[in-house]
Order: sequence, then structure tokens, then C-alpha cells
Amino acid sequence: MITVETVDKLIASSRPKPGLVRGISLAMLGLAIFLGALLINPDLLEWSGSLGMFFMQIIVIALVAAIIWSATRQRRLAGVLLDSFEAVQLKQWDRAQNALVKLLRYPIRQPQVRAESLLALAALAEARHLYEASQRIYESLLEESNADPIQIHTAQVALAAVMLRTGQITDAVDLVDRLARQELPEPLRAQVELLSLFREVTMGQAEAGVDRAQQRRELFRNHLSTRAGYGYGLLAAAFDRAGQPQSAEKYWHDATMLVRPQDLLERFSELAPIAEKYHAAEYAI
Amino acid sequence: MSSDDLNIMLRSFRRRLAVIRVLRIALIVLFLLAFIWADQLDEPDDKHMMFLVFAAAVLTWILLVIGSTQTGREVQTASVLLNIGKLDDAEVWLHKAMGRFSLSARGKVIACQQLAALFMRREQYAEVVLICRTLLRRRLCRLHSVWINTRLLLADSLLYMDRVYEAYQAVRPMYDVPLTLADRMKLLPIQLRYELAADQAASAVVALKEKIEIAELLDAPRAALVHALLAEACRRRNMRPQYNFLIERARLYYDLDKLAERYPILTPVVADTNTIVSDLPEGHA
Repeated sequence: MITVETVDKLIASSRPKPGLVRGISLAMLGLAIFLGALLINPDLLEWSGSLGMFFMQIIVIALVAAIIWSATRQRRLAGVLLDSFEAVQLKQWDRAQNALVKLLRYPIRQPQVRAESLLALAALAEARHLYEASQRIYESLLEESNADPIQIHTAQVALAAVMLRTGQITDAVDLVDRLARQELPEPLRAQVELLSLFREVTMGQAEAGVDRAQQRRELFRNHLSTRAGYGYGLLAAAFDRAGQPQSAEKYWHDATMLVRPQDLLERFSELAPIAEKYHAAEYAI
Repeated sequence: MSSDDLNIMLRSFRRRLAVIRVLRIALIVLFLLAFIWADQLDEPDDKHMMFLVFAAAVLTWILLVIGSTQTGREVQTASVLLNIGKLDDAEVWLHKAMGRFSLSARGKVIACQQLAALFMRREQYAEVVLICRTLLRRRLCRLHSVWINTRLLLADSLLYMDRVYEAYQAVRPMYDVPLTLADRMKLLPIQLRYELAADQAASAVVALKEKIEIAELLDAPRAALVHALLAEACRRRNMRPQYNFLIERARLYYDLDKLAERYPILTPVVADTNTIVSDLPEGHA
């Protein structure tokens, strides 16, 4: 079960330890220096017996073993990382949770990898409607600012959406407005427009929702792929509230062609009245 | 770049990889011999020489890592330029990476694969086939992703050149190894194109649900392509409800006319769609 406490622990445990050289790298450096010293002066350690005779060989074997262990561990973690990302893409949430908890239990040195893992954990929390937990993750990512610009942008958009769901309207509106004012490439603009539309539907601003419907539709279609279905669902809600049932019906049809109605409602419970009112598309497969 | 220039470049690339293999073995043997020789010397010269040999080994390793890192950076720069459409600039960086002296074959192999991707963007399929076949002569077991991508590029190009059986031979080994979700996402459009070109629509319609689940994870144009290819397979198999569903979904993702220009195998499906009188309102997909 993902709770706020679990999330706090995983954020802390996945944070890389400070210092230029640490852990296995420090041990390997130490062994290498010791080996160098022994090569210059084998009498450095006055040990007698078979241990003394083979001490240098033992050092070399320890060094090689440390390198192999480190490489094996990296490969194992890479496998867990891949497994977690695949599980999130396929919405296999139990599998994703097992993989992500395993992954985030240890420090992750690469900031982008850590950020991507935390975003995956946040997506898992959101899928289970654990919005406080997901909010904690997004806020932590934005505070630490140790991720690439696209990850930071994704965290901002997701945080604004979570704030809208949890009733933190003022903060959400501020963040949405700030994002909307930014000059963004179209794929990122599409995400912000989806968020703005969600805000308008949540706050009952029907006219604003339908005003730029055509422009938004093109943006969603070109850049959101299957997730454009969520945008069409929200447009259906906007048109319905604006008293245009025909357009609402057609947008709902398109939304349910791309995304199943239960998935639409899972993500946006605000669409429940729309689902009751209009017919969903039929799945022939 | 002309075919002759490309052939010369690929011959030089093969020669360099062979030289790298020989040099690596020679270096290891040289250092081992140096250690043995130093051990035979009288004291204290043996300790001093051992230390010098050890220091030389470490210095050589550092220089190799620096060279390898520089090659990696050049490949990365080329990759970014390729993604933003600056193909000529990308080609310059790839030539640099492939021409730089380095004892790491890995960077050069990745650069060569990126060169194939660049020619793919230019729609120079004969060149792509030449580069991919050069790469596949090497054992790429340690570079699994390069092996996968090279086979996919090769099959893709061969399909564009209507060399259907050779395209099958290019992807056939991929079915014997575990594939990640990302690999399956890249393989699916190529597999479907092959199956339709080889008149195997029955194979194409197997596991429709799973194929659609994968298609939903793709970007809009590729999602539309997969849906349209599946629709064409259903059309050939007289699976009318599935055909209607798939073609309507394909249209929601992307313009089918544009797809048919690039993939003539979709012409029947697009022609069929265009003869349907649309009573959808303006702005509808």
C-alpha cells in the first residue's frame, strides 16, 4: 500500500549520498591504491605464512570481484527499472508497485533516472486515487529541482491537476496560469491545454471550455495520441454544460473510441454525468 | 554522400574495428609481459618497474575512457541533431565519431547505427541496407539495443524496396530473443507491413486485442498506421465490424491520406473510407 509515509521513505532512500566518491567506488579506489603501494613495497605488510605470500593476489581478486559485483548490481537495477516502466505503461499497477519499491529502496545516482522513477510512482499513486501521496512526490521533485526540464514540466502539470482534485483551487489556478503563459513546444503545450480544460470543467467555466475547442482538438490529436481521448471527454463535458448536446455527443463518441469509458471515469470522475447522458462507442474487439 | 563514398567509409569502419580488436589484445599481452619482466629484475628495480608498469596501465585506461567519452558525446550530439531534423550537421558529427581514434568499438558501432537512421530519414533505403548489413556482420550480443534497431531499420528499408522475403529474414531472429515492450512497439508496424505485403492477413489479425493495446502506446502517426494496417488485414479477411472500428480509430489518430502516400498498401482502406458519406459535423475527425 502506497501511503504518504511510504512515499517519504522512498524519496529519502532513493536520494544519492553526498560525496564525490562513495560506496563501492571508494572501496575500489582504496584497494587500487593499496595494490599500488604493495607493488612498490611488498614488505609493507610483514605477514608470514601463506596469507602473506598470496596477499597481493587476494587484493587483485577482491578488486576484480568488486568490479563484477558493481556491474551485476547495475544490470539488475536496470532490469528492475525497465520492468517498472513497462508495468506503468501497461497499467499493471501491482507489478509496478513491487518494482518501484524495490528500485527506490536504494540510492539512485543519476538524477534523471531517479526523477523518472518517482514520476512513475506518482502515476501509480494517482491511478489508486492516492492524491496526497502523488502530490508529495511532485512537490519533492520540484523542490529538489534535480531533473531534466521535461520532467520538471511534467511534475508541474501533474501537481496542478492533483491540486484541482484535492480542492487546492487557488494554488492550482496560479500554477495553471503560470504554465499557460510559458512559451512551450507544441507537445508540451498540448499537456497544458488539457490541464487548462480540466480546470475550466472543474470550475464550471463552460464558455471558456468551448471557445478554443477546435484548436485544442487539433493539439490533442497531433500530440497526445490515445490520451487525446481524455481531452475529447473533457470537451464533451464543456459542450454539455454550454448547452450544445450534439457536439457533446460527438466528442463523447470520439473520447470513448480512444479510451474505454471506465478508464475515462477512473481518471476524471467529473465525466460521470456525461457517461450517463450520452452513448459510448462500441468496441468491436 | 555517394554510394562509392559510403562503401569506402564502411570498409574503413570495418578495418578500424579489426584494428581495435588486435590493439586491445596486444595491449593486454604487452602489460602482462611487462609485469613478468619487471618481476624478474633485481631489487629494488623490480618494485620501481612494477610501479611504473602499473601506473602506465592506469594512465592508458584513463586515456581510453576519455576517448570513449568523447566519442559518446559526439554520438549524442549527432542524435540530438537527428531528432531536430538537422541531418547534414548530424552526419558531420557521426563521421567525426566514426573516424576518431579510440579503443572502444562500442561508440563507433552506435555511431554507425545512427548513420543508418540518418539515411532512413533521407529515405535512402539502399544505403540503409548496406550499413545495416555491415553492422550485422559483427557480433552485437553486448549491444542488444543496437542489434534490435539495426534489424528493424533493415527490415523497414527492405519493405520500402518491396524486398519482402529479405525483410522477413531481417526480423526473423528477433523472435528468438526476449523483447522488451519498447522493442515490441517498434516491431509491430514492421511486422504488420510484412504480413500484408506477404499476403498473410490471417497472421495479422491474430491477437488483435493485444496488438491494439500496444498500438495505443505509440505516438499518433504510428498508432494510426498500426490501426490502418490491422483494418486492411480485417478487410481482406471480411471482418467488417472489426474493420469499421479500426478504421474509425485510425482516423482519430492521424490523416489516413498522408499515411497512404507513404504506405501504398493502405490505399484500399483509404479509398474505402473516402467513399463513405460523412455526416459528421465540421471539425470532426
